[in-house]
Amino acid sequence: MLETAQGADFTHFYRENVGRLIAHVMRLGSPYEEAADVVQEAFIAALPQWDAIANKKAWLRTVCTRLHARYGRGRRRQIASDEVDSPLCDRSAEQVEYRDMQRRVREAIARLPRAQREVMAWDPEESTVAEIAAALGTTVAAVKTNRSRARARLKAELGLKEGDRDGD
Amino acid sequence: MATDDSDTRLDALLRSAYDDVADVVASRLDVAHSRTELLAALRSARFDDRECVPSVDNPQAQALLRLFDQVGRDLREIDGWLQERLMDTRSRDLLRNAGDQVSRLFQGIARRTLGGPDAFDLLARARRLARTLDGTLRKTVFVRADQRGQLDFEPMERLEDVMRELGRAEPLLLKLYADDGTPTAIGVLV
Repeated sequence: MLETAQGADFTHFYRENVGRLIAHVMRLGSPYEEAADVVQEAFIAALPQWDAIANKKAWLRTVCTRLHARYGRGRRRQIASDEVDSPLCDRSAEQVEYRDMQRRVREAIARLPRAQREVMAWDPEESTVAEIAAALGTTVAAVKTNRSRARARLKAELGLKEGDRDGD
Repeated sequence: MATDDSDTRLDALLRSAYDDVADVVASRLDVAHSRTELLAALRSARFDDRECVPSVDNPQAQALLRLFDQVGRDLREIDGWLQERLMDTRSRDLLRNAGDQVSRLFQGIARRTLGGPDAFDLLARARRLARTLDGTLRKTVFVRADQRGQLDFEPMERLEDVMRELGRAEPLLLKLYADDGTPTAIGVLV
């Protein structure tokens, strides 16, 4: 359907990134439906200026982060635990323990201060620190600091003790 | 580089949390459906300024309002078609510009705030823009037809309707302003 060069680029980008963007917004704390709405709104904002946006991935994540904050105003943060959790039936004791830990991780992330949570929402396998800094409009040093503080806080909340070394 | 065991465990937990979210998205997201919704939202964002035809006592004015309302609907249909296919910005600019002229005509006649010369000027601009759009769109549609081996006549037919409707507006405008006793309108036509 979208046969122009601009349309082909948009379609390709949309197919490749819509899922990742929704996941990103969910990691910020939105439930799935809200995350999908946020991403749709961001794409609507992007379309009229599509050719002028140099770094589309970063631009859309930036807009999504702002929209998430706007959507989330006045409501308690959540990490969509009920959506991520599978049904209770047919679970072994190990699975229950694993799920419980997963829930604790999500809740711990949700309790992070906003700047730290925004940094932790980025999947480190998908983006570099420099890309995250550019998208958030901050410095590489600030991203590293927020990530470091977030990790320390998560470790404390999750009861992960520092000290044991597994490599040199 | 030294790695704390707590770092390794945290990395594993975070990785797992990231993957869980990705799994939820993968299980719930229907990209094709989502994209259709996006296009519908794009269209409705442009259509929410839809006008309704007010009732006026002058039969020419009433007929013109209905006509311009219909032109507005046709232009919005074409706009939806263009937007769905993300056509070149020039076509959409032409279409929006034509829509603006028609909208000003509609508002000016409904409120009786538009003088004859301005009305004919707006109509002439709308017709000129529609003709230019017709030429631009025709080329694009035929190029696409060559590429795909099929022709999409719908927007062209709709645009022909628009040009026909704008043509029908001219004698109605003439009569309206003649009835209103504004002979300057006739002067513009000569």
